[in-house]
Amino acid sequence: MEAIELKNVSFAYPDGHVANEELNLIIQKGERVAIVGQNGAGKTTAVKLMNGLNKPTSGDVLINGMNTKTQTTAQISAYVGYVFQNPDDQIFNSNVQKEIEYMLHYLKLNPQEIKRRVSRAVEMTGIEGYLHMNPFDVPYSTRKFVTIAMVLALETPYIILDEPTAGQDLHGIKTLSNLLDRLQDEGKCVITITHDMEFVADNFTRVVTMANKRIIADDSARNIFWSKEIITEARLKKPQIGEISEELGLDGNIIFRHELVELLKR
Amino acid sequence: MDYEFINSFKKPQVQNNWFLDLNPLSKLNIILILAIIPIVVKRWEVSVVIILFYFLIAAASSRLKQFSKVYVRLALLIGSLLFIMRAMFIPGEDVLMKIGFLTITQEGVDHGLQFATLVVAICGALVLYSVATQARDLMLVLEKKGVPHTATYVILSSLQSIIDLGNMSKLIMESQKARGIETEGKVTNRIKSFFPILGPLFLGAISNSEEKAIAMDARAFYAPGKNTHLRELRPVSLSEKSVLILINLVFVGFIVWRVVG
Amino acid sequence: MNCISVKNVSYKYPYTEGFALKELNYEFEKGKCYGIIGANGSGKTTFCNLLRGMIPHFFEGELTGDVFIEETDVRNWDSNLLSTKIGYIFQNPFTQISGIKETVFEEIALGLENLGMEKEALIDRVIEVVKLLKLEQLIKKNPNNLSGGQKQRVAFASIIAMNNDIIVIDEPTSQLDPESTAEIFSIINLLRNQGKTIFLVEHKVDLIAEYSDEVIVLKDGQITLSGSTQEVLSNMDLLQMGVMLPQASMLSYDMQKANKQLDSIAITKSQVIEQIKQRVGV
Repeated sequence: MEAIELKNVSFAYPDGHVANEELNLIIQKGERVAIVGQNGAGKTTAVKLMNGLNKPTSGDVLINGMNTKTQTTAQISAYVGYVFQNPDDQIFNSNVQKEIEYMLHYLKLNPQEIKRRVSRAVEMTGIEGYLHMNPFDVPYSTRKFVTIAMVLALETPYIILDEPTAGQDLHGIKTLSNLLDRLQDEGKCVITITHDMEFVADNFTRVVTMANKRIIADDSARNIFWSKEIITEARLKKPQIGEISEELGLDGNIIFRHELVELLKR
Repeated sequence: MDYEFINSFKKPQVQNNWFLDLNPLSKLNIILILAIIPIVVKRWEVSVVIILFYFLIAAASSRLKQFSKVYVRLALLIGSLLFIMRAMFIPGEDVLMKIGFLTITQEGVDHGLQFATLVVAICGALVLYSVATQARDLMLVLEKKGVPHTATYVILSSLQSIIDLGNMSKLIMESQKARGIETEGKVTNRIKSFFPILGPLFLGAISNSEEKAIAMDARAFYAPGKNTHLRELRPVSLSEKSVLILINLVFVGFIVWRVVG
Repeated sequence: MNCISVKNVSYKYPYTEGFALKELNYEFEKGKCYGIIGANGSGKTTFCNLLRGMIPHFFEGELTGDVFIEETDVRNWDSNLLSTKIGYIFQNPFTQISGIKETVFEEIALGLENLGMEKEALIDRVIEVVKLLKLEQLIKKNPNNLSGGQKQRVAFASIIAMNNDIIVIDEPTSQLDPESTAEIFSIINLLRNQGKTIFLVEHKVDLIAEYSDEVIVLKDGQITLSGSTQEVLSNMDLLQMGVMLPQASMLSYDMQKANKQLDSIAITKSQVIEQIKQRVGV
């Protein structure tokens, strides 16, 4: 099966600290999924299970049917690309272009292919103007796009973005949103961790919610944001339009502005 | 709110153990003497007695576990290495055995034993001091003696940076794996994957240290005037002072006797 | 009374081409909260460095024009005194922890130790701040092992303990989850009620709308829009400056388009709810 499957997965650190309990999840090839929840809810450890950085303490993680326990992380990386939360942990070349090309040379791809992949990744992330700069001189929020470009260039069928929205301005959010659309058109699966609830409402239909090491809900954005229990347990916040609708006592589980205006027009 | 904890700052910090609660400088004084004795005497029996004495002090200050954990391994490693090197290569007349081109002599063994125990004894002093004294206590005393708090900050924060760097290198190693660089299995893989992480490790550390300087500036680190201390140590008691003076006098006497005699 | 005035200021970092700040003019009054917004790279952090005297005291480069902090030219301020006058909190929760203290209680006390406060008063002050920020559960914990949100609250506590009149806060919540963000903003509100002068850089315009008195918009190092929060955050030109409008403003405009015009362009949630109730009668 072409999917990422978590079957009854628990994970504990070597020191015994349990980070994930009983995760069950299937994410199909080509899907677009948001993972939300408080800091410390276990989101990052959960996605690290999906690329083999964490191996389950019990249960199994399958990537396209292959068990992560039998593979090294480097082998899994051909299928699952992972953009870290902090770009500084992932950068080690002296300029942006070299950074993006590094793995492509390591994989011994031919020059045309490298060129094609780099220009695709650069165009999608809008970092044309930074190619010859030292990554550490690139502003922090743009540096995140450098690491996204680096992972895009690997052209893996699954891509995990860990908090790409942190510190992004209007332009950055738009770039991310376009990126998600492009990847969906290309049939890539994107899994995104984020704290930005407006971004979730605008860009995701499937939202996995985590709290206290577990997955507590896996549903549409609308159902998640209009469930009092889920919001309270995962300590989320409705998008502001949802809050306004709620306080106005409107029906219809509204999360978008156009829906609210439509209703008020009547 | 835990007022018991808060009120503990109003009194000197004590751990209710006679050795641990000695002033960090008194402890340093005593341990230095213990390290110097084997250097002066140059007999392996004395070194061994001193080494055993460390264990006694460690036990008396209920730090035996921490002390042994580090020291036993270190002593075995350094001790055996030094002993073997000396025993094999020091020439002598009293030949014990021949293995190929190596000739092991009684002189070599004696010398090796003496040198290995001496170095192990000196290392022991360092290890004992580090398990029996908190760095922040030593820094506090030094500050009171007039060492600027910028200097003590650098030392204390370097200790924390060692932990931070360790965590950071783990993280960067993970990112290497995640992008497809093989770090598992063969030793060559590990070595090859290790070098690229040095760059981001140090660049990260440098950019962090600039931010840290700014953060510390905001905490009035360079404020004019003298800083105060929330924690305080027990003032050195008269009995501690007198015992220390006595120990030092005996030690000086001993040195003089050895040198003259 | 003016707390900081910026007159005709331009600034260029060393070894760079082009000015990071251009021809800035603004009078900042005591006791107000100023929201500073703009796209990334528009000069927000540089502006913060200017306001707290890091330019020219820490960052060299080319500074023209004048900055007066409490009527004194910034160049004539003792930089060591300035840091006791103006508090600073920034984005990265990790680098703001000193790394030399073993409990949160001692971490919060560090600034006061540096100011030379006597022990009794110091302990009382730390207790006061711990209560104010509701950090009771954390005081015995090692600050190096806290989560990002907890570290950020400790960073606030450490600065607030020093009781500065002016506090510069640069993107305090960009790394935090919604709950920690709400906690941080309730702290900012507390500071506002204490009459502190606050400079707040933040991307979340909905929060700027709630908490600031005036807003300054930067684009390419220039102030392109400024004035009362109401005025600035209801201005559609913001989108051209790379800044989102608050959801409430966008909703107000959409209502206008739908021929259900509200009394005015509301910028906060409570305003817009009030106006919709009046207009539509739900």
